[in-house]
Amino acid sequence: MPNKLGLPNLGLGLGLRSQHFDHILKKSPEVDWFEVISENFMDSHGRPRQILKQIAERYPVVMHGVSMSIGSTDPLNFEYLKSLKTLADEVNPAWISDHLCWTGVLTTNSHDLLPLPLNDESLQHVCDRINQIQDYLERPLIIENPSTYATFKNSTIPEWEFLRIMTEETGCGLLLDVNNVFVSSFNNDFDPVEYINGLPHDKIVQMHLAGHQNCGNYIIDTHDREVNTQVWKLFQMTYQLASDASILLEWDGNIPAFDVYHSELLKSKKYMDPTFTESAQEKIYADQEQVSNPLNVVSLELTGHSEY
Amino acid sequence: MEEKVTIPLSSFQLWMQQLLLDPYQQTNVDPKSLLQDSFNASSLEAIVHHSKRLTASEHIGIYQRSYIARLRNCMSQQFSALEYALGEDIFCAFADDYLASTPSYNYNLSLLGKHFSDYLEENRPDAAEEIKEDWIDFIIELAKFEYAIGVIFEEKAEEEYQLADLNSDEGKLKLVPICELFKFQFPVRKFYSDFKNEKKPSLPFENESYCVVIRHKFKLAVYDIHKDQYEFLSSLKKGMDIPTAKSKFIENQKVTTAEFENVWTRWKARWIEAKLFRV
Repeated sequence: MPNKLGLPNLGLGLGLRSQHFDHILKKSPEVDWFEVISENFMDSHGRPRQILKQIAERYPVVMHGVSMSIGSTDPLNFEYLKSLKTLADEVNPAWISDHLCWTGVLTTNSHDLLPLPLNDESLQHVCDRINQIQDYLERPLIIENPSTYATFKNSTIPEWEFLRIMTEETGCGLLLDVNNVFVSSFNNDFDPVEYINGLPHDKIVQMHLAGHQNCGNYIIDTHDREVNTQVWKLFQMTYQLASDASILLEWDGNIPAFDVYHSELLKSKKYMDPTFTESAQEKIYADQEQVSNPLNVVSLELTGHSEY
Repeated sequence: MEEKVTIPLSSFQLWMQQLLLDPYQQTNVDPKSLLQDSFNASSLEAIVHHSKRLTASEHIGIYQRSYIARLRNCMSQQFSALEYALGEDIFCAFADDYLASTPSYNYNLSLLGKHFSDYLEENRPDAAEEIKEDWIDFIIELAKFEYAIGVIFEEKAEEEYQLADLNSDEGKLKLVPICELFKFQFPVRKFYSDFKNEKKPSLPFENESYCVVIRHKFKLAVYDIHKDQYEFLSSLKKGMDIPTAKSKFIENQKVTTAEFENVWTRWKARWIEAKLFRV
């Protein structure tokens, strides 16, 4: 059923990871849809892109980017957008998403999702660029709230308010990462429930779930483990406000077998019920700090090492 | 009440990027010097909020650590055999220094290690020594090979073509579109393959080696070849047809046609089986 932006509710999806390519092609698992990291396929003309085309023939696919750099003060990278559009023409994604962030300036790419000061200047800047990008791509863009580890004294607009105005000004949709809200709220001392309540729920096209690492004084958005119970609870609350949204579980580090990954996604069904309860404490991990927003790189396979 | 802080977005981004890329100010660029037209932005603490648990510097420190760790992880995935050869600590030291001197300018992470072998060449530990150490030459060759494998894996090429078989007209045989030849001072292919097959290879001694890497139906295969085969296939890579390449080989190697035809029959059968030839 289409949601309020006219985009379909795709159901429960998983991030497409190269470790699972063969399993998906051989077993055709009952997953509703897959999300792909756009940059892993845009400039690849080898096996990963070939496999993506096969998967896109069998499943709905969404393209999720990490390098559009919507908030950067560098000029828009039309070489990037051209490559993105070419891939979109090939795999016909249900939508294209990226993050409310910047990745670098002076043409440098930090490959991180860096936070913006949220104020009138950045709001106008972001809205102008989203409008340009949507015109170029000829489709609405879906923007995700990033996980953040700092806030700035020249910010004057709460993030949820920034996102609300951004959707009103540009017509873009929201990809609400519930784990990111939890991570950012812990790191930056805000109430995640107030954040969720302040969002324009009718613009939430998709939700992300993921695991994180609680390092005690801060939380890192690691995508390398199961979803934390407190994040599930936040999802449970959010789902009652945005039940049209498609749900996706991200897993980018310590990627488990496909069935483990899928079963974690299916837990979301329990939390769609507002009466479901499960008690657990936030677990603090004493292991080494992991990387935030890990980059999932397509792994390379070599088929023969024969001596000739 | 906190004083109002004003920083143009462009200045803010220059400032923060400088903090990430050069956390120890090795470039002698003071991030503060990049805060043009700002008001009340005299220090990091004046720009970044502290929280209940972390200072402003600790908040930025998370980004600083993640920046280098994330890219280092990518380098270790792109150069996994090299990381094994060098050991994790030395590899990280090289990777960190390379990333500091050569930040990424492209969204395509495959390009991250494009200049790594050049960096190793320019920063070899024995640069000041008159007698060079062998293992460094091996490391540089291995870095070049690992990067080249990644390029071959991703590159755009014609995919719809007919493979040759033993009955194909020899005059019409051509190399498949993705067929790359390598010549090494060391047995790089063997080390790389042994590592990929989890055989824990030791650093090899100098020993000239050759290999060919092909891609067919998006799958890579690598085969050892010997010097004569390398010379012959190099002629084909340059665009020569088989009869011309054969004539050139016979002339250069000073062998008779009959002698070469005897060898060629075996080469051709093996290379057709290995999917080196199309028609």
